[in-house]
Amino acid sequence: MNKTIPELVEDFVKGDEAAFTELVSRFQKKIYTLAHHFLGNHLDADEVVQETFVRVYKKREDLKNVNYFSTFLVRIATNYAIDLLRKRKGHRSMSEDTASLPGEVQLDLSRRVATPSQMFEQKRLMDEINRALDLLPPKQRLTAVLHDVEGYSKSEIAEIFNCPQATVRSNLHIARMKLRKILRQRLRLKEQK
Amino acid sequence: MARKCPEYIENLSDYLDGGIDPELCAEIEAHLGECNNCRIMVDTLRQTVTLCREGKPETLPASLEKKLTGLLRERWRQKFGK
Repeated sequence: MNKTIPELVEDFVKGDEAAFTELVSRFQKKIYTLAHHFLGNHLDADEVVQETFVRVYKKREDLKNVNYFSTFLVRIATNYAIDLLRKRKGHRSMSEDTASLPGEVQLDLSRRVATPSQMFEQKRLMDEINRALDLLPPKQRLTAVLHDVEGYSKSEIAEIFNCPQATVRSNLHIARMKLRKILRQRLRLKEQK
Repeated sequence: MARKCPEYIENLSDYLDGGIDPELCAEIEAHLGECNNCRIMVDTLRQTVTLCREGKPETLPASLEKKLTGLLRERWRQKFGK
């Protein structure tokens, strides 16, 4: 039977490497998706995944006092992603950098089942949203990504950022208002349909 | 005293998420019935959130996930020597 997350964490803290591997396997996709949304490219998202789990590995003693592994993990990932964003700002475009993926992986991405026009539209929409998100300060941007894209609740985000829920609500509202302004051309097009 | 538009706008995000006091919710809805600007605001705000959700890329294909796990493990081995 599959072990629960608290059981795996307990085993990992006791030094069980297999438990750590299982935790990585269960959470890496979640962290990758979040990082990709926040940073907009594969290379940085990959780096966030690796660094997050390396940091968790190093901080395993701290896990004894952690109630929710997922929140602990996302907090580490978001902190690192914010640092990375600040470091990268101005050095790289936010578009998908598939050219950096290994050959086989590029091939797999090309096998996604979607018509060319759907793929084009999806890519254009993602680019527009990424460009809009890119204009927001990191905390507002991450709040919008966590809540509106990834579906985290405000209380979870407050726990991740270690701040009051009112701050999350305010950041989310400001972020949405700014996004609305930036995406207005797209919104107008939608209204005309 | 009746609130002004900016005070309603401040609460529109919470209103959309459903996390708002029922009394204030009723007040906002009554205001939206009368104020065209705020109605446009709430509609476009709702569309913005929808666009963000629609824009979510597909999850990684299983084969890619497997390869990423392999790459990650390889880098750990290099880093920790295990």
